[in-house]
Amino acid sequence: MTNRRTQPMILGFGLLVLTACSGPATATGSPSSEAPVPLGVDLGASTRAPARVVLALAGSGVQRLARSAAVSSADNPRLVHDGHGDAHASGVVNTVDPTQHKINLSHEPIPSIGWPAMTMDFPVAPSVDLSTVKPGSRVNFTIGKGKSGMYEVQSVQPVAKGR
Amino acid sequence: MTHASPYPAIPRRRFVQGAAAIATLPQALSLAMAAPPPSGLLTGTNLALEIGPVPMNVTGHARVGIAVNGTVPAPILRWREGDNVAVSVTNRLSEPTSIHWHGLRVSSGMDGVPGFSFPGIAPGDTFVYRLPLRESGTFWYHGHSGFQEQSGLYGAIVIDPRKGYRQFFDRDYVVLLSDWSDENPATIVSNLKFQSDYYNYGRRTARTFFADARRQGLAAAISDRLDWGNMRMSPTDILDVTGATYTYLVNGQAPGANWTALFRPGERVRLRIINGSSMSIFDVRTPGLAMMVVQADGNEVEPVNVDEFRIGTAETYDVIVQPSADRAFTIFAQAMDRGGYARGTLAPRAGMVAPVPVMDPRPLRTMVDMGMANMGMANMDHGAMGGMSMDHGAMPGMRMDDSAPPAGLTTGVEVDNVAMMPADRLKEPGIGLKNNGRRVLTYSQLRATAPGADPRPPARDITLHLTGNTGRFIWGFDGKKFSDAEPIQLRRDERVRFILIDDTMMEHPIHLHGLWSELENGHGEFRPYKHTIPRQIRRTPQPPRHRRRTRALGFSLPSSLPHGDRHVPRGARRMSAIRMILPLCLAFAPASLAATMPSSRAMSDTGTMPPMMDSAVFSHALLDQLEGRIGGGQRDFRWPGQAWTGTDPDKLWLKTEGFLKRSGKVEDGRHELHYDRAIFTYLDLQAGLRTDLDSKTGRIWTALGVQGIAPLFFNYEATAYLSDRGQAAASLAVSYDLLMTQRLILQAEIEANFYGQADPGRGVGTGLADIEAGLRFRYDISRKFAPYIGVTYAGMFGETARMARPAGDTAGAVQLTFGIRSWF
Repeated sequence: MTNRRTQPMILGFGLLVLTACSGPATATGSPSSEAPVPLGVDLGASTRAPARVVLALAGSGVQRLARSAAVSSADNPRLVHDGHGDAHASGVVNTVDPTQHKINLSHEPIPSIGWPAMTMDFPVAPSVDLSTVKPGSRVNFTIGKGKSGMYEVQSVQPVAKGR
Repeated sequence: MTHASPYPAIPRRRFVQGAAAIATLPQALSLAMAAPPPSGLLTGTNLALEIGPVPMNVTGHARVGIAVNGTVPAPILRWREGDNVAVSVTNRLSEPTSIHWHGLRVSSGMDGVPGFSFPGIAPGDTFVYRLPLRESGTFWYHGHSGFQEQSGLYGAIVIDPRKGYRQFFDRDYVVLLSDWSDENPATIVSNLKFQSDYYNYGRRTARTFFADARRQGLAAAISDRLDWGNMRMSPTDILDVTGATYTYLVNGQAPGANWTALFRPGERVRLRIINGSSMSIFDVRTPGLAMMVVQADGNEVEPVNVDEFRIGTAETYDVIVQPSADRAFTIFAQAMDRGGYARGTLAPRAGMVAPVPVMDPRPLRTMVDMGMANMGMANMDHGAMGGMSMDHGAMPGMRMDDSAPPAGLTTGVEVDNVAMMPADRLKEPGIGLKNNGRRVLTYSQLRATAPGADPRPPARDITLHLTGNTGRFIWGFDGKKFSDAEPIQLRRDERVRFILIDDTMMEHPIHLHGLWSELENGHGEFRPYKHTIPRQIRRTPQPPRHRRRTRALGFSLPSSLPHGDRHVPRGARRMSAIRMILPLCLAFAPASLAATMPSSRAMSDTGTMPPMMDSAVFSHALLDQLEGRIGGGQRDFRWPGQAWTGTDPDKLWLKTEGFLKRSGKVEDGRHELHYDRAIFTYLDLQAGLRTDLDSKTGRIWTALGVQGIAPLFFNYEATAYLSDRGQAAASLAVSYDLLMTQRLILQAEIEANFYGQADPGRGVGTGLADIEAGLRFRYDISRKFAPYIGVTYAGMFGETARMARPAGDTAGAVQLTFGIRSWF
């Protein structure tokens, strides 16, 4: 009831606030003597760093991508390409590029970070010796975020009975 | 201990503001309004918590609550999976305290159950909890001493997963539901001990009877009343403590305070909904917004889209909502009995409100809820069950073999009902939620996102009946309250299936301290892990398989041991203490035995404070007919009273009654002192002494009697006396309360006295001597104070009447009566 009556005013006020770019503001139609509304503590988005360090991720491409996807399909939870720590997976090596220290893999789904099965290039951590990795072989590997924030392959182990 | 918080500590007290409360704004709060700091949020691996008293004002009345670092609820503790955290808890109260980490799998010494797994924290002391965080998700923590949780000692725990979140969301809020009463929590229990429907203002009355008769027909309405009356149960018994005394809170805020979570339209908002109440079960929904359930009890589940879900005491559910409109949405959590609601708002801007829905109709329990009907009858209208016999003895052949109640279960004082046809009701949304047009979460929809960590099948099954005596307000497992129960012995790493059968009427969430269990709900190896299973009535979820390698603690009811749900302190908790007897063996022992048998029992080394209060002493006094009577040429004043003190089974009982006549004579004055022993569910045995104390010759009598509740809720009292002169006598009293409305009650009562031999000194003859009958209309201004008006008849019969006539006493008179009924 109250809401309907005050909504135009709130909307108008909201527009003013938005143009002022000042984030949330108190918009009430009631006397100023009223107690302020207790506001909840926002713990942040799912992309937040789990550590105590608060990273400014608001404009990251990953987040924007995920958000637009999420908006379009509310009922279909989107998994976020933003895992932390290592993820274990297996796949087949397509090409190895020792000069750029890169590898192309067709990997199976990686549920812990929400990746479907894909074929893609990965940078490989410097600690990994690529000379033992043969194209066409089946491998278990781990990926995690490197210093650049990009996912990189952090270990590769050939599967014993691989092709 | 360092106090690691990303935000400066704000030494201030946070007042909980109710609708009518006047905002009290210390300077810090006024300053805080400009840029609200995330108050009540602590992060870091070294935290310091101080438990102390705090002024509270929820309803407009000043009260004292219990706060952590000055806030109610306690601060949100935000941690990271895999970290080891140390929490130093300092007690600034004048009584011992404790904190239990609900749902965290910690070692028993860190679980925080005083007198059971650790000694508790004495006033002024500091205890350092060391918690390895093996899990991520939403959990909560609360006091486990006395009634401190009810007074505000509860807060949320948010543990971020190391590997990031499975779902995307832009904002993340804790929605901590709780219940607040201005009454002292101990008073609430005491009131329930006196009258178990003390807080139920939705009882069946004459009015609802006529409404039912119109709807279902007179015969059906009558037989339904008879069925329930014969079981001495009430279908309106939904929650024991209701909105009659509770104000339901969202993050410590009353509904009128409009706690608000901000969003921008289109954002996905994660709501971590925690039931941190003591005695309440909520039905949560956000009208206009579908909720995607992504987590239950801190464990990931396959997302389910629902409109509403029921959250039992101590459960947690994480949901994601996506409000796309630029408007406010209400977060609505109505108590299961529809006696009140907690309310918050999701809004693009502070100060907005959305319509608050009208509460649903009050649900009524059915015979299915009582375990008295099989699934085929589940959808049957309760009025149609009139022909069904509710006599326990008549249906022994229908017991299911695998859940047959333990021998002797049906007869104990602590047991008022045994489910004859326990049914797995995980697919049902719950009482009051069927066919309401909304998609309501059921337990069978919870499916884990990954197979369980332990694929072994359970090595054995343990069936536990949760039993209770609603009227006496006693609760236990297999008919035994905590302090009488034998421990359940489990081996370390053993996998056990617990089959839980709720023989009571009420939903009783079961929490296994320090353990998660897998709920067998038909999802194969994708059984969801839960730490709390709110057994909805008569459900036989066959749930928990013990998780391996956890050092188990208590197997307990909802939120906590000594308080929390008041069904708990009263005993509904079996076993507890884990004590390493052999390196790989866990023993559960009834801890409170330590108080009485310090030398021999398991818990003797953990302190002397009993963790259960299931042997507490309660004292009550009742003046039920303090009245004046006019008529028949007489003006009499009658005093009657009873007072009793003691534990559930054993009480000392004092009774007094008599008449003060206009002439100044005292008549029929008698005082009785009894030892009262509860011997059956609805029957007390009383033995003691009676003295006559009036204007006639006094006698001293020994007395032996029974008092109890008969089917259909007739109260009766029958006593036999033997005097010091060898005379025998008997008295019999029966009364019945007929509810016209919730507060207007017609009490019919009849009392008769018999004597074996004439006693001219007391003016009584052989046989039936006198009858007292009364019809009293009383109005419960409160449960404890009710004035009434009525008519009474007092008559003498037989020899007694003949003896009275010469003395000028009237042999019988109808009198106008007015008085008060009061108790405390």
